[in-house]
Amino acid sequence: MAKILIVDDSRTSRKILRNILQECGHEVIDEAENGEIGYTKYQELKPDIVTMDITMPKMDGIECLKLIRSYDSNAKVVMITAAGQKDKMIEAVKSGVAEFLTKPFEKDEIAHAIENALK
Amino acid sequence: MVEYILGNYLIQSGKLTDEYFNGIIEKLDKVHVRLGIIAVAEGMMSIEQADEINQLQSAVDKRFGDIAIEKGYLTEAQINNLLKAQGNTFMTFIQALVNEGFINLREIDNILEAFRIKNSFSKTDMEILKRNDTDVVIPLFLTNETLQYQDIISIAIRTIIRCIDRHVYIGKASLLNGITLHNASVQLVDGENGFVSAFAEKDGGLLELSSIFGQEQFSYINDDSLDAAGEFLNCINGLHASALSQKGDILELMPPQLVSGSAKITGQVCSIPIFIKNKQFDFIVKNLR
Repeated sequence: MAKILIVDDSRTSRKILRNILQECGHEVIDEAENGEIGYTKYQELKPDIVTMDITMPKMDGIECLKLIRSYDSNAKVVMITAAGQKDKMIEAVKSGVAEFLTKPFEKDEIAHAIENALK
Repeated sequence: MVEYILGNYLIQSGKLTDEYFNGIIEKLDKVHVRLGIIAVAEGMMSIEQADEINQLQSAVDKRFGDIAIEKGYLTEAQINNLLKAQGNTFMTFIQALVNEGFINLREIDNILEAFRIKNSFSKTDMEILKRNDTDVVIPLFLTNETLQYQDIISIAIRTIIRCIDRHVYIGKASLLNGITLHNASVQLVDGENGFVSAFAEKDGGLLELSSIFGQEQFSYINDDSLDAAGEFLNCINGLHASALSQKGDILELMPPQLVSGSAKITGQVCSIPIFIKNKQFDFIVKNLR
């Protein structure tokens, strides 16, 4: 079981992801609606994993990933993308992302990505 | 798709009631089996292979059968056999109407001919409609001016069929000179061949879509239901951006914007009515190039 922080500007996505992660036996310790809040909550809560939406207003997923990884080089961030975001995904890989997930969410895919990120 | 269009025609002609129509659709849904499930049950494919294809469909806008062939899991002949086993929804609907006694065999041709004339379909169009293949049915609802939007409209309908409602259907697309949106989710996909697209509520269709995708029964349009619609729009736009990027376009998806009041999109826009459970919303696209 992992302690997970969800960072996503969409309430719908946060809710669906929270439900699936809990069904998979993980604990969602908090949620954040943009990268700025996500970074602050990471420092406070030290989650095992962060699920991070790549497209967010104020501070996007890539910028937040970079901040989190510079604060904690062992941080495990699973980046949530839609199809068609190849360039951003390459940037995320360069910035140390652990795994990717594509919307719309599939339970098996999420379980697999979290398992891989925890390895 | 076509079963709803024909069903509505039969309701309007007094040959069927809403209640009986919904009953028939419910029965069809009970016997409908997805292609992947038939393939696994027939021993043609492993569960892992079927799951892999389902997951790939989130990233690329391709049909289950096309990915299975590309991956070398199934041959074209096997796909054709699976499609036959799955059955054509339009033909199954006609069969159900006969079985339930709403029409008799001798009436079928006359009813379909009256339906053809009422909707201004050609005889060739009718043959296409009977195949009930989304890719070839959609162009029948596009005008010459709106054909340029075929790719993104097809992606939207295929994604709705896969994630929301397999009975979704569309009306005729139109090209407008600007549009004012009320209760809508809008997304800019920025880049050289960028575009703006939107889902706008009409008479309950967007609420249906939001409730199904958001896994929550919304009773009215608010920021939460528009957020769910915006997330679904983001999936569609991502698939379209992905297809465009294969041609070398670099596009960036911006966060969806929620319009609970009103907002105007200026210039030429394509608007196509989409119906989920007979409730309408509009899909609007504007190319920025």
